[in-house]
Amino acid sequence: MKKKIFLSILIVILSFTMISVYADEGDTQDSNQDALDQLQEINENNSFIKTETKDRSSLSNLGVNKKWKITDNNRDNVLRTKYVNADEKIYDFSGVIKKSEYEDLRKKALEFKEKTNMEIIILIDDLPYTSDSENEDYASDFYDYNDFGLDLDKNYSGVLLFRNTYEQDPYYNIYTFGEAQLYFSYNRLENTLDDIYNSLHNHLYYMGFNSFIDSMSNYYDSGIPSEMNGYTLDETGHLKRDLKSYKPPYFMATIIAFVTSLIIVLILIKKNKMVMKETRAEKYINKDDIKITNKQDNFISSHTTHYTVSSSSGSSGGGFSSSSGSSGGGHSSGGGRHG
Amino acid sequence: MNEKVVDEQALENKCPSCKASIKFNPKVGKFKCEYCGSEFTLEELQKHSDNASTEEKNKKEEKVEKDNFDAYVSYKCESCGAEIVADDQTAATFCVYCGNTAILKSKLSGQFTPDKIIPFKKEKQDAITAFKGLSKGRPLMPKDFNSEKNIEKIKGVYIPFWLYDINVSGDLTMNGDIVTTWTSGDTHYTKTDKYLVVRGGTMDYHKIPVDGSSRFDNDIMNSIEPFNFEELIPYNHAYLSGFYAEKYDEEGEKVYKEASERALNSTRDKLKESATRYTTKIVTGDTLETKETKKEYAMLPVWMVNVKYNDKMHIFAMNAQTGEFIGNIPLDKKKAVLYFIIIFVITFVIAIIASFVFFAIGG
Repeated sequence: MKKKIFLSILIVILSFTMISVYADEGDTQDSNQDALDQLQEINENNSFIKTETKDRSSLSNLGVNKKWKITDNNRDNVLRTKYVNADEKIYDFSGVIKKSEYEDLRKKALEFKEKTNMEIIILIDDLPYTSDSENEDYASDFYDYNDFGLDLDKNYSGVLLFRNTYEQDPYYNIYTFGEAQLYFSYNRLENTLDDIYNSLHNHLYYMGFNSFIDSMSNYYDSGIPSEMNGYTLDETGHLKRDLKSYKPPYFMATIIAFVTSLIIVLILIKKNKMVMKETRAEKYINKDDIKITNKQDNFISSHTTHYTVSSSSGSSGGGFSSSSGSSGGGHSSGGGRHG
Repeated sequence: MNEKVVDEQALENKCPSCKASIKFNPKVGKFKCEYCGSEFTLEELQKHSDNASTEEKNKKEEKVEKDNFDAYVSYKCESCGAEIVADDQTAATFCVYCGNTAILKSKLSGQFTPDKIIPFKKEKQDAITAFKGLSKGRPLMPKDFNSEKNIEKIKGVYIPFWLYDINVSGDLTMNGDIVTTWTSGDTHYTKTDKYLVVRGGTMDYHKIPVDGSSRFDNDIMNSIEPFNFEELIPYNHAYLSGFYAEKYDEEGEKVYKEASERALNSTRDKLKESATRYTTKIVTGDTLETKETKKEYAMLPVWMVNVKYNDKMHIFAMNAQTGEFIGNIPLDKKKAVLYFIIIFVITFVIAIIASFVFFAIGG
């Protein structure tokens, strides 16, 4: 009987031991899984994103949901334009942005949209080109033929930074659409292009794109710059003068009119006066009778002065540089940079 | 001053054919008789005149009186016998009764004999036409100012001119700067080289004309220049027929100074111009001297037009060789103000429209 009891106790202990061992094994397995998951997440965050595109050829209106009309002239442009998910905001076809960076940038872009009612898009691609305008065509088509700003206003306002990673001649520029053309004037875009040059040139893309979004956000906070006062947008998003804001320059016109009338009337008065004292006699000498025999040119001294011309590009340039895309919609841009 | 003046002789040209008075006709460039229509050159007239000279010499003008200040003298008209009164400077005039030319020969003899003359080429009608044409391009001329009825007097006058040949020689001293600029990188350089520049030589001016009559405004006579001195011919009294003439009353240093100043100024200009490589030149001094190389006394043809407008006299003159017509036209102040206002309004409107267009196209 004691033996049976002992055996029974042993079995129970063993069972518990086995159960506990088994239970321990399960815990270890769980923690290993977590570590794996974390590792995977780190790997994923450190991996470069690859933007996916959709096929637009079979879609209604070739996937263009904006008001642009598709004609024989721009059909090829539309088909060539990559069709993407407009919510992503950051499109990296060159694989230079890590997933974690992508998430940060996208978050900032969404915040920007929330604050400004304007899109902010970053597009990175490897586009062989021979002239800078090809970059502009590519970037404006990308904006126009995707759904950017579709939920905002009739001019699909937004700003797009295109970084071309084409190895032979890397290029980048900022393009503005709709209301963004009013906020981000040529001068502001030029300043931003200068500010992010070093980052982009040195492939510190995350830093560069961050400061691009910050810069746009700050400029938005400053309001529409004075040089864009008096401009508005037409139906197709082209900048045009807001004729209502025209203020006639009465003071300047008065001065111009006064000086002009004074000069003309003085000339007319002079015509009435024909009698003049003659103080010269050049009519009474022939060329042959002029003999210059003494010519002396005695050097006395020389001095050189110099001053330095400021090379700042920020203050130069006009209000905007406006163009039409293949869609017929208007957009503006900065001067663009190579590097 | 009631001194006696020796008898004077008035020369009168007579037509060799009909013995009527004959005048030089600028249009045909010959002497033409207005009665029989005959035309003669100076040589032809002289031939006939020589034949009649014995008879002519016997006819002398009788001096009648002389006023107590200016030497006003009167002559007897050969044609009608009336008295011709002329002042001391007048060398050719007209008989107020029969209109015949009276050339007071003694006024143009001896030291007063002109060396050269340019005969009239422009007629009285040319001067009238030129006066009537003044309105062209002169909108501020008073209305009807150029109407023929305002011409109070118009007369063709041979005006005595001194023609100076002047040699100017010497040096002109200047401070000359050569300024060069260039940019290297961001730095802009300006280099100034300073030089003491001397240009010298000689220049010969020919026939600088100076009006020898104090009766005519020198500025007016300056303004009808230049005459074409290629057409100067030896003087002959006969050319004066049909015109007034003056004798000189200004000569010597005063007249020469006027010509020499002009020559000096032009010489300075030319010497300065000849230093071409300098950006700026400032004349600091000169050693220029003038020398009169030749002096001639010439009669030059001028149409003097006296215009009376609003009780004020305005003098116009026409170079009767070239047709250059000059004079100061009075200013219609109302018109000037009106023009100012009209131009002001037009310019103002254009400026506003231009600014709007500039604004609208997005400049």
